[in-house]
Amino acid sequence: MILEYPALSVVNLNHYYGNGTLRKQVLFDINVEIERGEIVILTGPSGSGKTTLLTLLGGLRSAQEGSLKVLDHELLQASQDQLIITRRKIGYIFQAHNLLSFLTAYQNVELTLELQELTTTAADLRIKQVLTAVGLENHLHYYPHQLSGGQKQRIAIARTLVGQPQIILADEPTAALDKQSGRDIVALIQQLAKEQQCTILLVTHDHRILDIADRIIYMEDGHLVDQPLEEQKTNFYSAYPA
Amino acid sequence: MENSSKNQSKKPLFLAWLQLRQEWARLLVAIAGISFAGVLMFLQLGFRGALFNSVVEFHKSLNGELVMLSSRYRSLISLDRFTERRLYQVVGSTGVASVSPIYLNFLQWRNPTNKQIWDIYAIGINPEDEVLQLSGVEQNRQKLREPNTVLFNQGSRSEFGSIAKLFNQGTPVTTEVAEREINVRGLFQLSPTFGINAYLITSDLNFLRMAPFRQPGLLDIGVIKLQPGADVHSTLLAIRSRLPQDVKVLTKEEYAQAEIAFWNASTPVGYTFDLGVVIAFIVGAVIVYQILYSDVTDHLPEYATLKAMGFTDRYLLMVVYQESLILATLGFMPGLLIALGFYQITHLVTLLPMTMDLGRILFVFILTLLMCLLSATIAIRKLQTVDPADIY
Repeated sequence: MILEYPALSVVNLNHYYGNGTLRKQVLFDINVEIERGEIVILTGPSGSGKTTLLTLLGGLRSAQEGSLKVLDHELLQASQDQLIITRRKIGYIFQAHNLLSFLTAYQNVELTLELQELTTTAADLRIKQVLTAVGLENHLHYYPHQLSGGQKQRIAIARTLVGQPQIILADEPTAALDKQSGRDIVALIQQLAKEQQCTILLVTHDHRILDIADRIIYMEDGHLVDQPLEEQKTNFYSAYPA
Repeated sequence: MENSSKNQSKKPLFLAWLQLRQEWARLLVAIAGISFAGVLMFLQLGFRGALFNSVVEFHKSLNGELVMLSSRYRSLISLDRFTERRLYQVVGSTGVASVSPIYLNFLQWRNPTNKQIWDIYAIGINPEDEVLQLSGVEQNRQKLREPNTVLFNQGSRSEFGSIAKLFNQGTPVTTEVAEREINVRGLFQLSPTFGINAYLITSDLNFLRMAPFRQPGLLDIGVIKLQPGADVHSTLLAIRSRLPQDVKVLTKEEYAQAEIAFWNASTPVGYTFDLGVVIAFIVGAVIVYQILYSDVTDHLPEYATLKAMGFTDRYLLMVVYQESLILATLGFMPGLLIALGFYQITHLVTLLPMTMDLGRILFVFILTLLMCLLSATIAIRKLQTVDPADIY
């Protein structure tokens, strides 16, 4: 029998910024579990601690208290090397595309594969496939400054997906995009993630994309707030009118 | 060919070069700065080398394996005399073929054109002995048997008059040395040094005529020629053991080394050029540091992204180090070419023997590499501040 474990599991997590008298708690007793293949949206007002939670889950910040497991690996008191290994299993999509300006679309995607052992042909095939999937097969050798905001975000998504991550953490991936591009990007993330069966945790303020989620969790002042889905959406719409 | 390349592992992206190439204006500034530092280092080392080459040209021309000097002799410009009896004492020793005396003294030379007086370095030799292997001496030394004749060195500075030009035109050159009329009967080749601007060679008898204050029989240098096949070292030891402490005997090589050591340690010259190299090194390092620092700073968000993707600190350090090595190599090449040009110009202007050798090229290249690596090491401290959590 195979022991099933969740993609992400957080138990009694607390987090603080600063030291001494300036020490301030930003996350309070967070408990959440995300199953494999689930698409979860994390939402809530600015400064509620969403990004902090995301960076902790991604191994970009060291956990302080509680338990935090990514694919059954405990990140509390993990070494730098273990954090780096965790990061390689996770794909990130950022609000800013964070492409390397001196690399072409192709090379930016290729960068992810620097961390994997592949032959030249296999790498080339995967890069072209994923850039075709995001609709940029005719822009392989363009530099980021030659492309539009939506196209850059597509490259960033291709860069994430080419590594075939088991988890994708996305922070406001549509914030810098217009309505149509935003929808397209989210649909793309959803479709490609389903194909690769990966888990997605998406932080957003953008109510236009809430419907792609299997589940929505709401955060306020460092606490996860339990609310029924419908009520949640209603509150959310009133807080962020379109 | 096509098939074999397909099965190879993917070639790593050459991030360092791609990143440098993006900002070509900055790249050109970096190359110019490193070239500049390289040129400075080459020039300082060139002057230093020219000085040391020129000061021992005389020493290397001596036709003998051993040299006898007063124990208080230090350099061609810090002389002391010894009695010729010491030199003739070694004539009978096993292995010694012949000995030959040399007199040295600065004398006053009158520029035949503008009548100015300049100190010239006079070398008095026995015209019957083949004692100086310099081009022009061997053909002409017999002419020095005549009274009041000298040979003049072609490489002399122009303050002494255009002697070589006049002589080559066939004009008889007559002037005064120590207020005595002399004729120039030939030319020879010996570079000026930082201490000696011009030389003349004359016979021992003529030398004593021009320098009446010099006592006959008190020599500056004794050249000892050994028999073919004689062992230099054992002969040297045998001679040393039979001579009192007022003279010293050196091999020709030791004699040249002692001259270099004198210039290096007992004059400010060696230090001056060493300091010049250090300054050039620092200037170059600061330039490379500036370039790498702004390069790293401009790419901090991108480096943070790389860290978040799972790249190690080591990978990022390697990128910056590779950049510094690329800069070192690209900057060194033009620096070398420019330095070669300056060597030519300097030789034409100063007549110093400025020559490039492989050892110096390697030395400056290694200094350039060190300079760039050092700068990279300081610049990457900025990388430690990159926090992958900052990108959200």
